[in-house]
Amino acid sequence: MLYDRYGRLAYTLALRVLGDAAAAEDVVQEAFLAVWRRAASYRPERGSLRTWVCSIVHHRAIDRLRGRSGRARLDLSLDKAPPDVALSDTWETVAADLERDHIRRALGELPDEQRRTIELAYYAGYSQSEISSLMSVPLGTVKGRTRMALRRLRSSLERQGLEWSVT
Amino acid sequence: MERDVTCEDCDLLLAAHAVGALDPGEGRRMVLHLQGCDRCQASASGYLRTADVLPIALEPVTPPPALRSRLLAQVHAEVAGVGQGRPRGAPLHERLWRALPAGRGLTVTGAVAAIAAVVLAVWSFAVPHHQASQPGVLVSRACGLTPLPSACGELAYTPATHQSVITVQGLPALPVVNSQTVGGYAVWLIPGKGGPVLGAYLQPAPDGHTWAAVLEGDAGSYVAVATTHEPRLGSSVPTGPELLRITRPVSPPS
Repeated sequence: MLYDRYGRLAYTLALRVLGDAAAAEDVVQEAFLAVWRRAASYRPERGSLRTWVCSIVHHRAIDRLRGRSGRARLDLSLDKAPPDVALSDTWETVAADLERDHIRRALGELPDEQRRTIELAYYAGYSQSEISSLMSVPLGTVKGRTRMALRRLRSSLERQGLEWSVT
Repeated sequence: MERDVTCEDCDLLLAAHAVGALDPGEGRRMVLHLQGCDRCQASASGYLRTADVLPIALEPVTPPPALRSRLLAQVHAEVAGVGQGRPRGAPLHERLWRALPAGRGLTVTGAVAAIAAVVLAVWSFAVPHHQASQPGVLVSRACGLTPLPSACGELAYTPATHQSVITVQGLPALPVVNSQTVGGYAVWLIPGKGGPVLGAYLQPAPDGHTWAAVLEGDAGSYVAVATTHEPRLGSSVPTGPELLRITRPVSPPS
């Protein structure tokens, strides 16, 4: 079943964004129910199942974080921001999964300010306005860094020969 | 008055959207622009696929096994209470999904594999919905005992997966004290010999009328399942009145 294939990835992502196991379980459950309810709307030619599932999990986790259907984020201080992925202990370990290794390497190649922008946005669920406040830079700078980070990330992955997975 | 979104604006919004960082109100403007702009649709696809790799960089964490059972139980409960409590409007990321162009950078093999995966996934979830015509699923039904004659349930056993799903309707809502539900409906496995064994707790579906639980393990190890209302969760023996008993489904004579 779909959950058996992507449940771990979905839970990992939700837990990373929310930092709370019970909330992550709720989000994963809601997300897979949404996938099941909307299975007919899936278009494989538009992206992989993994993309679809992760997209739903990620957006629901962020919605919950921002209080649209759950608790609100109260503290925007940079000190309280989740730890930097690239500098965490797990980053230092040898990745068993080659794909993970490639992606981490690509993230590590980004300029610090771009990588930090992506991490605050994707892994910590901050909006661009919030990141602008956190990093004390204009909103336009955050927008530019986000775009540039994704472009560089893609180029880096392509240089490493990583195939874009469709499943 | 809102300024029209240019392709440059949209490109920045698409990158923000891909990492979930759009500020409130920006999504609607982006989707409106996308609907009429092939160039930006192509950009959207690229950003989303790049962001798609970000979860993989995280150290994997295995979810608790109970999450899978809860998910299955809720799906079965929703199937049994067809069509109620479902959301109407699609969220932004799903509207964007629909707005994206087809066929960008994906192989035919990949597309076929993806379709097959979805079909399998949906079939797997929907088994009870079609159980009458699924030879791989054994079903038995029963209605309530004296304390609650309105309760009716169904026990579906899939020998191939050694998984049973019990779906019950007609149970009253659990009492609520200080905004928290008290107790739960327990499902007990009744062996041929010996006392009942706790199998699971029923989970409510959004329709408010259907409850379900997934029972793992070989159905041959018990002869029936019974449902009780337990004022406190965690008891290893039933403490509340038995509300429903369903005999284990058996293979039809060949």
